[in-house]
Amino acid sequence: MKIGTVIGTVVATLKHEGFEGRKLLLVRPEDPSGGRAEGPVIAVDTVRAGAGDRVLFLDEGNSARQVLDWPDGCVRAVIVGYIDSIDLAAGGGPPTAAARRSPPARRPRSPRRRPPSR
Amino acid sequence: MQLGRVVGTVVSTRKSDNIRGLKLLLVRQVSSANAPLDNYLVAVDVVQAGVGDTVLYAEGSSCRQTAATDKRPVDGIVLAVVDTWEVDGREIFNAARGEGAAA
Amino acid sequence: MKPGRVIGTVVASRKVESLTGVKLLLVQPLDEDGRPAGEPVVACDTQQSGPGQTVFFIGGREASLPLPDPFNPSDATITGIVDAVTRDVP
Repeated sequence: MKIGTVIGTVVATLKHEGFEGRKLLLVRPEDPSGGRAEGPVIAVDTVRAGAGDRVLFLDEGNSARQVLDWPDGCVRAVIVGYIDSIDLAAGGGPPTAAARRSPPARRPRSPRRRPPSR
Repeated sequence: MQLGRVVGTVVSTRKSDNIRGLKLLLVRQVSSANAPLDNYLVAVDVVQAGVGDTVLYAEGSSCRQTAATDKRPVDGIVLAVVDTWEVDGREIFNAARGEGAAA
Repeated sequence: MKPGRVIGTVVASRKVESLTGVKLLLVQPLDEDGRPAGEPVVACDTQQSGPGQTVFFIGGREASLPLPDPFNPSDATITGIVDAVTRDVP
């Protein structure tokens, strides 16, 4: 599973019929320290997530089809949970950009703590 | 899928039994502006493409979804020979007119 | 799935049989602000999309599934046309 933040909602009238009635959210994948990891992903929501929520999402077809109970679904990305907090051991996160430039590595930023959204 | 140009054929006499009989092509990716990129791959040919042809290739487990490659250890496939493509209404490549490269 | 914009069309008369009749489009992947990001991909169309439209497309093995003959080697397929993206987080 991957970590990300919901940054928006996607509205699509014309879409594969299997997406009918499913909410699509724009997710920004993040590394454990909250940095951007890759380009945005459009994911199916299963937990009534909303903008700003830090979430756990799948990006793999077999699991996605099981979670959505959609056996031949053309789907990979599905939001399956909220993240309340991540406790990152010292040195457990990816190095910050500054640390990559000048070893020895500094301690990674402490994870952002978000209150449970609802 | 990506656009590419067949730049060679690959001959391999010692190979996995599972890929025996498959024709292997060396393909160089080209950009949507028809510029060669520094990305090469060995792909199985299922459309009788040849050296110099501009083709469409796919990567990953999708490549096993043809009769010739079903359940075989294949992760690149040439699945079409490109006739033309256009970007923003402008023809970039036309096989009938040779190398095209209107860019 | 990923957001993208249709920027062109590709014509290939000689192709695997399972993709006969399937329209091929050039799609420019977009970043979260709708700006081009990375090299365009060629995607199969299932939504009658056309140049200029913002779409979402699926990559990988799942790209085969929405097409008429699901036993096909597509690794990118357009599955929807985006009407709007509401950006709530900067």
